[in-house]
Amino acid sequence: MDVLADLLGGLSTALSPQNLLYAFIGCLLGTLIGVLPGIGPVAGVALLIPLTLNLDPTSAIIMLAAIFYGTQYGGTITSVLLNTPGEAASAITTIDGYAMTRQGRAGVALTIAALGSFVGGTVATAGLVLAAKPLGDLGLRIGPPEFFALMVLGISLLVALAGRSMTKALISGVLGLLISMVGIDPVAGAPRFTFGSERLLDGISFVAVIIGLFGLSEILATAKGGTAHAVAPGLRALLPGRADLRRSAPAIARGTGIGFALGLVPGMTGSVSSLLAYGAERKFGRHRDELGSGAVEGVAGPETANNAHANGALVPLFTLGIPASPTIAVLMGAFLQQGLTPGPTLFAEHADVAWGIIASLFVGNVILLVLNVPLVRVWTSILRIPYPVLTALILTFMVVGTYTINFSVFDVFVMVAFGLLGLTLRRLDIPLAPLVLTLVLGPLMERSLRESLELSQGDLTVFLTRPICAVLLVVALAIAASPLLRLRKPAVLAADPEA
Amino acid sequence: MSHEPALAQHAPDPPEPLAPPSGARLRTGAQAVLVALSVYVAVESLGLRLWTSFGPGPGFFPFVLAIALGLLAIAWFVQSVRAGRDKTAGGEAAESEGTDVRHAAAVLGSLVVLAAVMDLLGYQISVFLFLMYHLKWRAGRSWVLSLALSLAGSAGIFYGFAHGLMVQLPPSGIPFLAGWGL
Repeated sequence: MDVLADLLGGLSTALSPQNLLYAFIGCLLGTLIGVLPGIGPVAGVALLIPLTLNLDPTSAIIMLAAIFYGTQYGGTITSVLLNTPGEAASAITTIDGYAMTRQGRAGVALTIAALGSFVGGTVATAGLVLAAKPLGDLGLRIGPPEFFALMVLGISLLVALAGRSMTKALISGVLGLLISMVGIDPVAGAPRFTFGSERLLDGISFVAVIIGLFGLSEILATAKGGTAHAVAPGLRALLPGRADLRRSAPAIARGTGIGFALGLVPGMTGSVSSLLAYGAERKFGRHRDELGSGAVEGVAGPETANNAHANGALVPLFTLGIPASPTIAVLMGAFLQQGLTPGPTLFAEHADVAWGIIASLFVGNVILLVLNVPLVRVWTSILRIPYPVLTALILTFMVVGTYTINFSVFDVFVMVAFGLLGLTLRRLDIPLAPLVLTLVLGPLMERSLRESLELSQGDLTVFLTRPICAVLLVVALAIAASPLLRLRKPAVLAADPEA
Repeated sequence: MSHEPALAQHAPDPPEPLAPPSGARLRTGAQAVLVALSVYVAVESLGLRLWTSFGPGPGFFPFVLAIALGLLAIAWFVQSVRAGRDKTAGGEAAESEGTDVRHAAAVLGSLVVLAAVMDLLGYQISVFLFLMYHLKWRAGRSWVLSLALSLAGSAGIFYGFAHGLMVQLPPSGIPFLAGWGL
C-alpha cells in the first residue's frame, strides 16, 4: 500500500501542468533525435542536458527521461520508412518493417510499434515500481565495500558484453576511469592531472566528453550526401486491423518479458533485446514462416522489447545507482549534476523526486503513443532535409550544448578533442560503451574503495570477509575470466551493434 | 548479420584482425601512446602519495589504473603480433573502414576556428560564419537557404536561449560589436 501511496503522490507531481509540458517536450525532442541520422540516444541526451539546467531537479530529470525513451521510438520511424535504423536497437525492425512499407502498410507497422512500445514501456515501469522499495531497502543495508563490489560487477558485465575483444573493452573502461580522475581528488582535495590549469580543477566536462565521443565522432566518421526519400503514409493507412492486433499480441507479450528481463542486466543493450525478441518470434511465432516478408510480429516483438528494455534498465539505476547502459550513464550524470545521487538513498532523501520521475514514465508512455502516430508525416518531412544541412545544424547544437554547461569555450575544445579520440577508437574497433560507464562511475567507485580501505585500516581482506561483497566480486571475476574459461558467448551478443 | 541467436565459440580473445598498413600503423601508434600514458599516470600518481595514515592516498587508484592500462596495452600488442604471424586470422572484420579525411578535417578545423573566435566575435557572428561555411561552401546550398538557416542558427538561437531559457550565449568581446547587440 505504501508503494501505491508513493506512486499516487508521484503521479500528482508528474501530472502538474509544468511537468506534463516538460515530458511532452522531452518525448518530442527524443523522437526527433531518434529520427535524425548521425546522432544516437547517448549524444542526444547529453546534448539536451543544457536545456534542463535552469529547471528544478524533478522537471529536469522528467524531461531527460522522456528524451531517453522518445529516442527509442524515433529510431523505429526511419527503420520502417527508409530501411535505415535511426538507432542501433531498431536495426532488426528494418527487415519486416520496411517490407511492410513496400506493401503499403507502413502506417500499420508504425502504429503497432507505438502500441508495443507503450505496452512494453508501461509494464517495465510497473516492474520498476514493484522493485523500487525492496531493492532500495536492500541497497540501504550495504556498505562501501559492497557498493564497490557492485560497481565492479556492473563494469565487468559491460566489458564482457561489449565489442569483440575483451582487451579492447577493458582498455576503454580504464580510459574512462582515468579521465574521471582529472580534477580535485574527492577525498583528500588534492588536484590531479590538471597540468596546472585551473579549468581542469573541476574535472573534464562530462557532457563535452559524451558529445565528442558519440556525436561528433559519428559525424566525422560519416560523410554522406543527398537526401532520404521517405514517403509518409496517410492517416487512414495508420490503423491496424483486428487481425494485425490479434497477431501482434503474443509478440508484444514475449517482447515485454525479454526486454524487461534483459534491461535489468548491466551491459545488455536494447539491440540484444530486440534481436532476441525477433529470435523468439522465429522460434515460437505462429506465423514464423512469414517473418522477413512483412510479418507484423517482426515489428511488434523487437519494438516492444526495445522499449521494455529502456524502462527496465532504469531499475538498477533507481535502486542501486548502477547505470546499465551508456545512455543510462548519461542520465545518471544528469542526476548528479542536479545534486541527486541515484540509488537507495534517492528514495530516502528525495522520495518525492524519485516517485515523481517514476510516475512520469507512465505519463510519458501515454504521451508517446498519442504524439507519435499522428506526427509520422512531420518526422518523415524532417528526413527529407539533405544530410549536409542536418549535419551543419547538429554541429551548431553540439557547440551550444557543450558551451552552456560551464559557459566555457574550453569545453568546446574538449568536445573537439574527444570527437577525434572517438573517431580513433572507432577505427581501432575499441568499444565506447565501457568508457562512458566508467567515466560516470569512476569517482563513486574510487570513493567507495577508499572508504572501504579506511574503514578496514588498509586491510584488503575487507572485500573477502563480507559475504555479499565476496560473492559479487567472485561473480565479477568469473565474468572477467569467462574468455579464459572458453565459455560460450551467444552470437547475438558478439554481433551487438551497440557494443 | 545472423538473426537467429545462435551460439558461437567465445575464444579468450578473437585473433587480432589483419589490418591494412595504415590501420596497422594506427594500431601500433595507439599501443605506444597507451603505454606512454600509463607511464605518465604512474609517475604522476607516485608524486600524489599512494598511501596516507588514513588509508589510500590520492595517487592510489590512478596508480593501479596506470599499471592496468600498461599491461592491457602490452597484451593488445602481443595479440596483434600473434595475429600478424597467424595468417588464418581472416574471419573477423578488420578495424573500421577508412574515414573521409577531407570531411573530418573540414569539420574539425571549422570547429576549432569557431571555438577560437567565439569569445572575441561573439556567438552570433562566429556561428553565422560557421554555418555559412558549411551550408554555402561545403554543401553548395543556395544563398537564400544558407543565409536563412545561418541567421536562424546564430541570431535565432542566441535570442531563443536568452529569452526562452534564460541562458546567455557569449556576446562579442569587441565593444563596438557588443554595442550592436552582437
